[in-house]
Amino acid sequence: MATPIHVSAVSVPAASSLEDIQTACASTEAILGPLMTIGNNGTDTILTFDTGNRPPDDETVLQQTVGGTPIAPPGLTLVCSGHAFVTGQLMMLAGFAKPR
Amino acid sequence: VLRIVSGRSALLAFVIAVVLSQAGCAPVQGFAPDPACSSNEMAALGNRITTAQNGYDGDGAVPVLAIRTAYRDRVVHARIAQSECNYNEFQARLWGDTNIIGLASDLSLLTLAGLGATIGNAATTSALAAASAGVVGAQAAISKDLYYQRTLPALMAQMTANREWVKAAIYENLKTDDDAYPLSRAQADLGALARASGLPAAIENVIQSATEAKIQAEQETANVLGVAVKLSPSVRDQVRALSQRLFDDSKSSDKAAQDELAAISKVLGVTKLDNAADWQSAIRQALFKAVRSDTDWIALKTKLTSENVKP
Repeated sequence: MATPIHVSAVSVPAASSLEDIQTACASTEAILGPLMTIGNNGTDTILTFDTGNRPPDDETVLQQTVGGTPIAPPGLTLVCSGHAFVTGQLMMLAGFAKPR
Repeated sequence: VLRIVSGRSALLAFVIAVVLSQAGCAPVQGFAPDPACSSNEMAALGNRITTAQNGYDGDGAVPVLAIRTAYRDRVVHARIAQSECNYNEFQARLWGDTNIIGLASDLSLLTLAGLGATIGNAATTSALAAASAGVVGAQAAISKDLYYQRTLPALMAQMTANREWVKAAIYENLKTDDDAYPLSRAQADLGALARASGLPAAIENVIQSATEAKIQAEQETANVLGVAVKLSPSVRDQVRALSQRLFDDSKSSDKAAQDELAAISKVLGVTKLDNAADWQSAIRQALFKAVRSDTDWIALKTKLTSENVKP
């Protein structure tokens, strides 16, 4: 399936720790734009970014969600959630943004 | 004897009349009343919460951690028990309230398509998909039976699951003392428990599941630009500033902005596109490919400077 021109998908190796994924997400968001989705292709974690928008000043915070229900910590808003590989294991992650 | 038979018939007729009148007026609840949730029990729970809360507030001034923790636990456990009763009553009303049919047609618009994508066997899925398609043209065609048998149980299961997740987190936190998990935090989590008990959260979850399934399907075949980069915080900020400027330049008709876009485009080897939004997007994708590390950024900065672009 062709990826829309303003959406860029990048991979993160499955063995990455949550901290590594966080750094990768923040670094990529700084270049490509706001994080849009979290998911996987069965081999690696796949993150998509919105290149049609301005890169955000604040970095998205990634957290593991317990039981699949993302509950935003105080002061943060849910951006997206999905199943990602964290140290080789598939788990539900949610991305939260600080509202400006 | 005749009087006795007549009396029995009258009693039987009375019982049938009562049953029929109940069937006609009152909805079938589908849930047995919980004796632990009687009005007396609920009042006792309320008193227990007030007493424990007063104890907590009173001892809060004195730093007796163990006592404070015990009061906190009492408040939280009683509030959860209260919440269970309220939730059971809510579920019973959802099952029994005939007015819910009005809500059903609204909900069906939101949920049937999502549920069709996420739950059930093929027959359920096709029934839900058919109902979802039909509801747009004819809301009246949504059958009560379908709603009760398919949609509502799924939403109720989602609500119950949402509650269990929040409760599990609360119970986990209660293993620590009041310093680590003070009552104020527990109260916030109890608020989350209340929100998790509602239809909006359940519908949101169902839609989210459907969306995630769609995203997952798309990502399995997505064109991946490359492996995500890992930059140091300071380099990240510098690259972000450049990328933000690229975006701002694309929105501007100012010559300096357009010249900057062209210069960066040249350094990164991107062909100019007529659509400014597409162009800046292509440049940022090229930037992502060019900056794989802090070292790459330093090298790129040199090239940008040589083209009179401020990195």
